[in-house]
Parts: sequence; C-alpha cells; structure tokens
Amino acid sequence: MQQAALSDAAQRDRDIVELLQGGSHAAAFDRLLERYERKVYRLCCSLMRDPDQAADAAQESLLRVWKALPGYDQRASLSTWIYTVTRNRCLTAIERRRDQDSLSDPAVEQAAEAAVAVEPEAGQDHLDLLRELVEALPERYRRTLTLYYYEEKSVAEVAAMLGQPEGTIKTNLHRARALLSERVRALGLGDPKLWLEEAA
Amino acid sequence: MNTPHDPPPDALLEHALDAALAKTLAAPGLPAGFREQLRAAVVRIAPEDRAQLRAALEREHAVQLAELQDGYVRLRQRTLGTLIGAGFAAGLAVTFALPWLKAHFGDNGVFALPAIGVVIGLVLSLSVWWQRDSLARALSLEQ
Repeated sequence: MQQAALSDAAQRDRDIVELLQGGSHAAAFDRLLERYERKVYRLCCSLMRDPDQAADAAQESLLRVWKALPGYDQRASLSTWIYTVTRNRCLTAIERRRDQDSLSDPAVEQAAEAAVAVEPEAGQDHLDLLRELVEALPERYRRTLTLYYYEEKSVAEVAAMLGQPEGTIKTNLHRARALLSERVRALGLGDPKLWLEEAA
Repeated sequence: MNTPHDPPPDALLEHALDAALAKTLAAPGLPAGFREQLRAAVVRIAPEDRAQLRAALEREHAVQLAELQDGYVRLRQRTLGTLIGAGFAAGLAVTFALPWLKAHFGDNGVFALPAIGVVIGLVLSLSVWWQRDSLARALSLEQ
C-alpha cells in the first residue's frame, strides 16, 4: 500500500519534471503546488512551532521554488530539492528569531527547554496536556514526532522531509515516545494507559 | 489479571500513547487564502523576473555584437595584410622575374608574365564553372 503510494508520488514528480523540461513552468508549478504545498506547510509547522510564522515561511519557500524552477537541474530529486529549500528558509527564520530573542547560544535554548515544566491544571483536557508534553520535548524529538503524525506515520516521508536517514528518524521516534511515557507517569495522574486512553 | 494471550502492559501503553498522539497531532490544514496569497506574490515578482530576463538578453546581445565587431576588424586586418602581401609579391616578381624573362625570351618575354596569369585565371574560372555546372546537373537529377 505504502509502496504503491510512493510509486504514485514518483510518477507525479516525473510528470512535473517533464512539464519543466517542456518549458511549461507555470503548469509545472501548478502541479507542484497540488502535490507539495500542504507538505511544505506541515514541514514549516513542525520546524517553526508557530502556525503564522510557518505560513510565512511556507509562502517564502514556495516563492523561492517558483523563482528557481527554471534552473532546476535534477541533480537532486524534486522532493529533496523542495524540502531542502523549505528547511533552509525555516532555519534562517529560526536563526533570525533566535537573534531577536537574544537566545543565540544553543546552550541557553536547551536550558530554556529543560526549564519547561508541565504542571497539569485542574480540569485540563488530556489532549491539551499531552500537547504541552510534546511541546516540552527536546527539539529534534518534537520535530520528528510531530511530522511523523502529520505525515500519517510514514518514516520514509519524514526522513525525506527532514533530510535525515530513516534509522535516525526511528531512533528519535522511539526516544520521544519513551520520554513521553516517562513524563506521563511522572505527572502522577494514575494509570498512564487509562489516562492516555481517555485522552484518545 | 493478564491471560497468556494478552499483550504485555508496555505494548498496551504504547498503543494508547500512539492513539492519543494521533489525535493530538492532527495535520494542520492550510491557512485560509494561502494559495491566493502565493499566486499574488508570484504575479508581483513576475515583472522583476521579466526585467532580469531582459537584462540577461541585453547582455547576451552585447556580447554577440562585440564578437561580430572583433570578427569584422580581424577580417579587415586580414584583407589589408593580403593586399600588402600581394603587392609586395608583385613587386618582387617584377624586380626579379622580368629581367630573367627578358634574358630568356627576348623583349616579348615581358608579355609572358601577364599571359601566364591570364591562363591560370582562365583555368581557375573554368574549373569553378565546371563544378557549378556539374553540381547543378546533380541537383536536377535528384529532383
């Protein structure tokens, strides 16, 4: 099933490349948007956290893709190229934001992450609490886990989007889940399984 | 109490966590007007692209003009060189060949040099004419 989806995706990419080779840049961009605009936005959401900033980054990334489309030389696959453009755009925006927040030192950011202590409030929705726990995860685990569920649990797709090997993605997912389970237990909300089942 | 067929508690927890995460981390939809904003931005940058394209074409045109200019100057220099060389060769021929022709063919030997030139010219003209004629015949046969 997943294999069929991958070959369908590859065929759609080939169609876009053929349009580009034929000089139909506008038509190629239309097809590209149909196939990638949601993925690009989701990648931006997972990297940027803030939906508004993610939307801006996605717009800028796709504009860059549009400008560079006539020069696309097929050295990398279409998806790799688009995701690389998007990641670079997001990382630049994150760097800029970090400079503005005067948190240019990664150690400072890690300390800030570690300082995030999730305290359950009375009557707080379980899903909200779980969302907070996910947000408090170390950055690489949070990004991987978020994108994994956004992309319907496709490790291959997450690996392509983040530009990392599938093994790294699996390791990050395993560690993220282990950390979450541990933190759910640490909240002392009773049986974590029951709590999670209520959340689901 | 767990029966031997029940999954281990860790697996149940994993399953519950997976279901809860799937619900919590639902994929966000595109913001309203995303595509329209992108289209508007594409239209806005189009004139810049056209200006860049025009500048690139003008640069290419200027390079081609410069190459043509260079070629023309080289051709003029070569023509001038050929003319000077031919004049020099003619001067040498007159200086050295005429006394030799007079000595061997008498006073009428002076006319031998232009006569040889005329013969060579005629041979060249006829051969060119013959080639053109045969080419024309070959073409007419093909048709």
